[in-house]
Amino acid sequence: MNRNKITYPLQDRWSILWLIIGGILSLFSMSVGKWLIPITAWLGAIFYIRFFRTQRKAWLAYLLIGITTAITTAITLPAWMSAMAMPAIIGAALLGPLTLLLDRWLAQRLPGFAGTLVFPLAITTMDLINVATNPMGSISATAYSQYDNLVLLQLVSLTGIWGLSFLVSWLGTVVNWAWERQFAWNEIKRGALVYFGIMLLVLVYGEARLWFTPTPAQTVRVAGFTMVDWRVEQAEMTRVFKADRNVFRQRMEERYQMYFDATIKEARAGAKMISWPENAMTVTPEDEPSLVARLGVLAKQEGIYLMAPIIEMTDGSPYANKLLIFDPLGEIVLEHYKFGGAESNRITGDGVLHTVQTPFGVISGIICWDTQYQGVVTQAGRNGSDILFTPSMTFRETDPIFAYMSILRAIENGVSVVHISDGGLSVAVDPFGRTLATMDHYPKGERLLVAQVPTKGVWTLYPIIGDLFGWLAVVATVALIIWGVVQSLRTRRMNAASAETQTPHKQDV
Amino acid sequence: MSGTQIPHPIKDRWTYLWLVVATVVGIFSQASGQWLIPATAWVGPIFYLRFFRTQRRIWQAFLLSAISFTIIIIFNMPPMLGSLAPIIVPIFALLTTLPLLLDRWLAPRLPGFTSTLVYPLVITGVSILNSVSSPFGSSSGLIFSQYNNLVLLQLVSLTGMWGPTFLIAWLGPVVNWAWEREFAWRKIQQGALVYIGVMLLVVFYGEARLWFASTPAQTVRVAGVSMVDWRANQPAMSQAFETDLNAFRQMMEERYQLYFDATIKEARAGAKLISLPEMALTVTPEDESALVARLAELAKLEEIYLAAPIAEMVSDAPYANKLLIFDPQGEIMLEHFKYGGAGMEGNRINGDGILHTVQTPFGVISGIICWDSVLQGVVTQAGRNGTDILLTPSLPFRETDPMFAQNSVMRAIENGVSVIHVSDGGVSIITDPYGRILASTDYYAQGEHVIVAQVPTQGVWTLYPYIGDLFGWLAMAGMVGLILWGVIQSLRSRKTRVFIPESSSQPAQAV
Repeated sequence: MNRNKITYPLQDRWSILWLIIGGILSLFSMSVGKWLIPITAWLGAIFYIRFFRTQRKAWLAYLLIGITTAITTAITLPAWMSAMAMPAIIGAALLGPLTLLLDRWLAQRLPGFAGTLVFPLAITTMDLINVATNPMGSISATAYSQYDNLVLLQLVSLTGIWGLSFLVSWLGTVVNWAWERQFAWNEIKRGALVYFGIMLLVLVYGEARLWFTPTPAQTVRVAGFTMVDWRVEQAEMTRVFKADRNVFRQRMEERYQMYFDATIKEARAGAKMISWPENAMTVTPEDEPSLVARLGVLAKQEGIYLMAPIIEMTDGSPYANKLLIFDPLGEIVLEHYKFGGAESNRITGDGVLHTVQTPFGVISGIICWDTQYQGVVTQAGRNGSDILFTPSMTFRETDPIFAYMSILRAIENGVSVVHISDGGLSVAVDPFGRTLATMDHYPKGERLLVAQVPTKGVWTLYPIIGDLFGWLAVVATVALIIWGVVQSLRTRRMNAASAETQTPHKQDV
Repeated sequence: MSGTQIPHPIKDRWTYLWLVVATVVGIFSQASGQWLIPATAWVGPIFYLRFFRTQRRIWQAFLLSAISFTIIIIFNMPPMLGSLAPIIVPIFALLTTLPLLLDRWLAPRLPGFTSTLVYPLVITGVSILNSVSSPFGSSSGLIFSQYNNLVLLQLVSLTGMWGPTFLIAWLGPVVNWAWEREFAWRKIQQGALVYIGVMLLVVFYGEARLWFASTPAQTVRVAGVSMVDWRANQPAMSQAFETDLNAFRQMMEERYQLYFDATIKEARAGAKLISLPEMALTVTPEDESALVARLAELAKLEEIYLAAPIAEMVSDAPYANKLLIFDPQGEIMLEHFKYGGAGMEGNRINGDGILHTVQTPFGVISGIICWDSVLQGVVTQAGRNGTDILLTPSLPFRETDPMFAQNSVMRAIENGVSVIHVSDGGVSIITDPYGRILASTDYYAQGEHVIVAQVPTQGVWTLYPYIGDLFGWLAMAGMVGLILWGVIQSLRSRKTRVFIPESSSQPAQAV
């Protein structure tokens, strides 16, 4: 690789233009944002990096990027974040530019093409730290912005979402690296071929994986539906719950009946497994045993596996949000408590994924926000699960992105996922993330999903190695920082030693 | 643009390596092939063009390329072509080599970046010629190699299949153009930015179209059932038909019952529109009217729209392969005769190729049959006559699976209609007007062959049905124009040579 020293800041009178372009692109690249155009996630970094490297004062660049990030995040952040919005905006504005600062400081000290690795490593590290510490799990990870590219997403079966964080952000530094060398082919050839080669490998891996999978040996008919709009009716329900318990019971009974009727109808049409959305059965703790008994009878009567999410309405004591799976004998064969999300006063599950052996493969289940914890869900990739149920209840603003997130869990763990969502997009996908069926909650008409789901999962590497790739990026980033500090100290000492003979050294960041 | 003329042949001692690479890559790039890795369709031509442009003798380059294509097609040949193979292979090999030849002849004569247009224009021109002259229509088009790239495919709503075809083919000459200039940025900057810019625009268009598509106002529950393996049972059926008509009747009656039962089950679960696959109801002409009456009764009893494909079994007279759509009153609202594959399916009555529509409470529906769907020009009627939901009941071969499903998806995006593709012996698929899968089932997995989806009741407006294959024909015109220009140039330069034989520099070698 070429070892011509390029030091920042670079001269570029268009510097501010690059900031503006980067800002506009970033409006369309947030994975949970209002507007998502996946390619902007690749392009945005090119311009932000160019801007940061061409600003004379690093602190000013930091400030301007921080302000831009705050503005674009505030514009594109969905309304449902409400209370979380301010911390998210401030966090993004303060921490986001750190990756760029690190890049400006370290990239120039590394020889040739190696300098391009600083930024993607930092982004991957930032993604991982964010995912590991965020009470909302992996919701903001870069990988989700690439929802529509099933070929690229196949990579998560090996590396988890970290491979995508890295590749998407690497383009930015590779292009800048070439730009700074005026795209002179002789200088950039090897680096460009390395990046293209890796991207091509990733594409061929994804395309071959999708094409060469054998037809599943067997499928099972699975149905799911949403009968009420829980969130829209929540206020009224809570009011009635507080005012008159009998009216509340009656209201809930009407809902149960809708779910029971639809279940009977779909079972008689041939569904062997039926899933309801999160919170479908809202009930007081004292009424719960009788409701559970009726669910057992329903499953037995129709000879089905029934995935019934239950939520308790309590006066203030901790409540349960759980998923019960009944077998065709009417027995409860799985009980799962929601562990993800930050809803206060909820009984939090232990995060252990249980399984049920059925004639149609091994099934398991988690609830809505649990799905964002990619590390916990890897259990499904190790415990033999073939079909994972993720009953959910989302917001209109997150429709359809939550469904796309559950698709990543399917690819990562090699399991089919049946995601029945009240207030969002429902999907059933095979272990490669391919759509078997989709249904949106919002159009008028029946809200029903029926799919023939493969009864066998496939082996994937990711659940075995877990977030190894992410942690490797963290280790590399930390090592780079330490190396950078040592280098700086050494340069300073050398400069001090030869201060009389040398001209002043180039300005550091 | 850089006006540097690069005369061919170019010296390159690796020339044969490029042919080998191109051949290996090419094996994985065939639209209806056995092994399809879509990226190879973009990459392959880079190496073919390099090989062809670096060969000293053109006839040798032509021959070796044709052999290479023959190898590729033999690797990929779907066995169903069987007896046709000896005819199709040479035609395919020659047709595929032709664009390389034209590129070598014309590209060096064109100034700068314009020279990169020869190859994609010829590929697109040949593709559209093939689509109108082949009984298989556009089904083997280059674009089908990109079946899994829904973002790129959105472009067909504007240009038809010809836009993506052009773009895929354009990459090869653009890379070669840069290669021949040693990728020197100052020389290639403008051209590279043009190509990257166009590709970015196309990706933006596709991604924005998919993201900003509004949630449908209403959906309707649709079901499709596939109860028998028609093709596997064909010999027994034909034998019964020829030897014992009563046994045949009984055999068919069992099938009808399977379809009737499944229809009733899905209707009672809430399906408002139910489609059976092509030839689901195989019947003799004399028993047909009784069967049709029973179908009407079924539709009325279950209060559904029923799409029932009927195939007549006859001894020698022309037979009908048609689609009837019954309304919930039991009336026949639409009768469509298959028009695709005329002459390829024995003594069949050929339809007139007019697409009729039925107004229903959940949108306007229309229907065609299997092979009809590969004639993209005919299907544009659906994009103009107000159709919201298009039924394409089918009966493909295992070897062509999932080609017909992919064809149906393309028609959905082109015409902005939802497509319900219920298939006996193949992938069944239901998509929205953007080609997004609402449901998909594979016939070859054990289990129920039932597909159910909530289908949007409103199509979306698209440009393509109004301009038709304009982009394809423009490419065709461009190709013809280039060839004429090339011939005239050749003649002129020959004349010039006669006048100034002393001229010091050799004119660039012509083909």
